[in-house]
Amino acid sequence: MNCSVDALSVTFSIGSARVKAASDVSFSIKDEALALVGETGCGKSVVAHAMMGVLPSNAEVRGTMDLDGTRCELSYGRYPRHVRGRSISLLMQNPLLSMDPLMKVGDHIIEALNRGQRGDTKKDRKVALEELAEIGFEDPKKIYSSYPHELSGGMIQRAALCVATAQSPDMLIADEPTKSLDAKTAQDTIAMLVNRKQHGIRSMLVITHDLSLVETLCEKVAVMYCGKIVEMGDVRDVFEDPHHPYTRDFLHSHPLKEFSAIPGMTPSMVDVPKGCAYHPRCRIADMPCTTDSPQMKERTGRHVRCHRY
Amino acid sequence: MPPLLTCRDLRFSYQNGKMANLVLKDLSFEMANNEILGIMGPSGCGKSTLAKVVGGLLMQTGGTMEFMGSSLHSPAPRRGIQMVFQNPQASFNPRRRLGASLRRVAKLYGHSDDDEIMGLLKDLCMQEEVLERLPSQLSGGQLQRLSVLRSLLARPSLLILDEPTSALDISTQASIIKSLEALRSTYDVAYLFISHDKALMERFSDRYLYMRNGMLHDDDAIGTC
Amino acid sequence: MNFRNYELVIGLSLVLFFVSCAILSPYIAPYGENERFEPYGHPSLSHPLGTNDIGNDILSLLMYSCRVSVVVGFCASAIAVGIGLVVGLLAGYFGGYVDEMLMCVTDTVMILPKLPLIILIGAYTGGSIRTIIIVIGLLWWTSTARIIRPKVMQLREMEYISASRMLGFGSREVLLHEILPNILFILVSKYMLTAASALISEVSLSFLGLGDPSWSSWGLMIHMAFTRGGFVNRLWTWVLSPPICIMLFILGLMLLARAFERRELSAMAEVMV
Repeated sequence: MNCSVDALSVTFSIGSARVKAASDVSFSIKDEALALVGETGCGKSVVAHAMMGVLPSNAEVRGTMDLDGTRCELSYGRYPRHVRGRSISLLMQNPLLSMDPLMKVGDHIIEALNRGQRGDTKKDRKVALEELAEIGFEDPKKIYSSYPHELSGGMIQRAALCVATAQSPDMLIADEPTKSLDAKTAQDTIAMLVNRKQHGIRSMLVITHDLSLVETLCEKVAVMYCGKIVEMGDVRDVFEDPHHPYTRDFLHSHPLKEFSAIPGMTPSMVDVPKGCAYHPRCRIADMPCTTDSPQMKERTGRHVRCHRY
Repeated sequence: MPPLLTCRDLRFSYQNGKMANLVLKDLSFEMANNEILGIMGPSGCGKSTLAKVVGGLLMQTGGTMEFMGSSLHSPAPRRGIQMVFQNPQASFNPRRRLGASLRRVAKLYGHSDDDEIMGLLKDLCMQEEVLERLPSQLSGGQLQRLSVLRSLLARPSLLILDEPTSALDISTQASIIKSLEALRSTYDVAYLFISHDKALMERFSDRYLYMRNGMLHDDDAIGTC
Repeated sequence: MNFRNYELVIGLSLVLFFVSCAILSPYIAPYGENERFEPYGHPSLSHPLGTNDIGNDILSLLMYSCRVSVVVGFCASAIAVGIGLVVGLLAGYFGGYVDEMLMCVTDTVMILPKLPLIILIGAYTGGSIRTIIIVIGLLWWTSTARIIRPKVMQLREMEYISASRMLGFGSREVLLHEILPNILFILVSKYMLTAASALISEVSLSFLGLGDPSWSSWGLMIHMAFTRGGFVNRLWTWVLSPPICIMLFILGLMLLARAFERRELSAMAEVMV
């Protein structure tokens, strides 16, 4: 499945302020997993929600999404409903909160399969059990009749993934799938996603700041800062040789690398610096960086948004 | 030098109706002055409970604890021990501006003006204007720094850090840990650092112990909690 | 101004309207409380709402009756919410035996049949305003306690409370400065609702003739309208104007309660994220 997003911008109107949560975001996913990486508040979740058409009405969305040649409008009220859930599915950030506490896991899967319509109960149950077995549960029957709060963190994540992929979507968007999971559960989740990728869901957009997830699961990575993509390319290339100053600083702040802190603080989205948003904290900032917003430059498959590139 | 903190056969169990749930099982360890001791373990192994017991928020059901020479047997507040929590957004009164919250603490510890707070703000690389904000207007990283600031107003000898950066990005995490490292020497404080992140543990702590199923080990045998 | 603000604006306007009527009635009512004119008068220029069976001006009576409603409503509610607040705070914060004991008391008071009890006590002691206020205050606090308690229990688990304890703030400090400000919105909301409830109880008592006879009350007016020929003489203004006043006052109180409840919910949403 070929998915490409073109010049996506999302602006929120909060009271009298206008916050540009994402601007000029463009990327394409061709039967691969793209990781959208960045700090909290950089706009990565907003991009995912825009692609699913689930942003609130006070969000102004510009830009288009192309799915296998068909153009999709992303603005509020014009999003094509058949895409959500069928072509693209979303695995949300907090799986426990995204499930109905009064519904058993099995009911969730059946609801996803039938899209709310009534189906053949016996057949549905059989299909649901098959899905649960396929995703790796050892006791599908037990999980089928459990409520979400009866499952542990890792199991809920697995169940939520099962619900999200029940309709065999062409693409899966996973929003921070390993957030607040401890090391072992995170590893299991990563393995589960890799498995899903090899058996069915060929295209994925993974929103995360967990770099080990990115390295294990994804082929491409896009780094976001203050609502814009600042670097995009092959995972191995970007991690070994980051070209954008922010990517470099961000990667080096990992405890396994230099563990060096980035000077200054991430600006609030209400008050983004003029010119290149990173210039106050950038080691190589120069004249144009303070006034002009840099454009995306492409060189041998690497996209970098930097005046000094 | 006598150790700062000594725990012997520490036990804690939750009373659940007729059942007693043993969470901490005969824990024994020591901490020296100005040391960073790490406690590493998966979620559910009891490390947060240990933090609360050492801090005095929960009373141990068995065993002894000695801090700076005297035995700890009454609940919080415990002189010389403070704590930074995992959830930055819940660490401050949501209805009060940060400045007001911090000044109340400063007043309690006998600082009549804002000099203490301003000095600590500088040490933590923060601007004065954060004092005018409500917690909901600040980022997780800023709130955690202010949480550290608040704890340091009490001049503790031991600061318990209960997963202080788990809810933060790696870049924010790096800068906060760096600040903590600098503050350790300036304020002569020891850290009891609780985390599940091995890489971070290696970088930050002087030494660390593994916790599994309510017990402490020196090594990490592969196993689930 | 969006929809949410309409609740606050309309609610406040209604409530302030009736409160000012209550305070200013001696000055702005067209006629005195006991002034008599032509009885059973239909609405006219000099008596916009007509006159009752003994010739009192209905419009003036309506205004004077505001006083009882406002006084009983707000005073009884203050006592009830005050008791409920203390019970809820202590039970929620300290838990354990304190909680069990207080909840026992709460459950007991809740079971008592309130209106019959007020009627009994009213009949026994002569039904003065003070008695009514005190009795309502002592019986109407349980729902406040039951709303405050879980909120306090929820707040108690938050890290900033633990931080306050570790820093050395005493229980009284924590309750007053850390917990109370965070339940203020819901407290005000409950205050309005309890005032509405107290108002209805007072109207019911007066309607049954068991209220304080020295104060004119909407309930008494309705009672008179029915028993002294308001219906028969087709004096709709006499029959309907008191109920409409009651409705509008209660509406104002409910809208205010809703407005504060909304603020509570949005404040909670900020923290729970």
